[in-house]
Amino acid sequence: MSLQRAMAIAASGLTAQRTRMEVVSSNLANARTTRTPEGGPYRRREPVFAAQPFDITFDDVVGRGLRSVRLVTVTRDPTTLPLRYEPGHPDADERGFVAYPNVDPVREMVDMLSATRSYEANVTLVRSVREMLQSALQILA
Amino acid sequence: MDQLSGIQGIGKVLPLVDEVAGRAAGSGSGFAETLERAIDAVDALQHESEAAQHAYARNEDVDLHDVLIKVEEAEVAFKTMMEIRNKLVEAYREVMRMGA
Amino acid sequence: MNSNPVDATVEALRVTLGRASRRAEVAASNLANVDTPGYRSLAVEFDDLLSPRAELEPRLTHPFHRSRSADRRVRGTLLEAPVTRMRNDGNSVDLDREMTTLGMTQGRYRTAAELLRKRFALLVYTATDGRAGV
Repeated sequence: MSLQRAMAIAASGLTAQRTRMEVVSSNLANARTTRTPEGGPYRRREPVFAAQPFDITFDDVVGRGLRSVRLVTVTRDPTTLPLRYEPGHPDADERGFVAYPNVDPVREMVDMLSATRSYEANVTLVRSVREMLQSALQILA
Repeated sequence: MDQLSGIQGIGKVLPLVDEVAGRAAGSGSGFAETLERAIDAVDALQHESEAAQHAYARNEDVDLHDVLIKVEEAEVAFKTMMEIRNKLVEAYREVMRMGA
Repeated sequence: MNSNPVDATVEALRVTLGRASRRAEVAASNLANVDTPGYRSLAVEFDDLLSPRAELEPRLTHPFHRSRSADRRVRGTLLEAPVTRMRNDGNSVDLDREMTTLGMTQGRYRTAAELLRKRFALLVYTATDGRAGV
């Protein structure tokens, strides 16, 4: 069961990293969005993940200690929105300032690289476990 | 003689084998007892193999390699038992050929 | 631990496969949570080696005995891995270490499986006077 459990846990990791990439993409795509349907400029989004007990029914200590990962929520980054003085801008306030998204493209790219690397690591694990299962069949050869 | 094929056949032959085992040269290991032990072991291992396969099919908490090892162990035991059985049959035939 | 293993070598290799399997699932847990805040990297430890009998030079004994223990699962102790790096959010997963360990784990598993194949082939060969196996 161990190898199958490993696969399932890795699957949760792939999903989590995929979500991270999607959130980063959204942030990058809306880095200059000053008007959103909810009103106001786009706010940077950030996924929140938590470790999740995989299966507490397994009656062994190792099994109970394993963790998959799940998305808890996608929060809005509360840091102050940068203001720029652009009096002619359609979204300028009465003093001529425009509020821009609190998205730093450099930081987003770093996050994207991190998510990609983590995703690849989980892929490698899936591949390794699959090869282990295949080599187990060698016993019968 | 088709009594000699199959395990049940061997069971009928066993009383004779005690005599044969005593007389046949170089059979110090005692084929009869060895075969009997072999059959018991094959039976036990066969049950374990099947139980493991069922557990795997029911997606119970069993490792794949453990299942495969049990399957292989049962098979090795079976082949060993068949070999002992074949030797037994051969020894019996040899004795019969000696004239009785 | 089996008190009456079918064959000492088979048992030793079986335990090797079991341990590698446990290591793989711990690796999965760590890699899935490589970016989870507060997650501490896990490791698994096993009781010190196999019984000395398993390490005896393998003899081609009768390839089976009769009594066998019911529970064959390889068990270990789960603990926190030694910390080699720690992020601000409390996550201590060392990605490079995990990938390296994973490579070794997979290698051991594959090797043990292959050795098992050869061991069974040898047992059959011996039992059938060279007519089958190998």
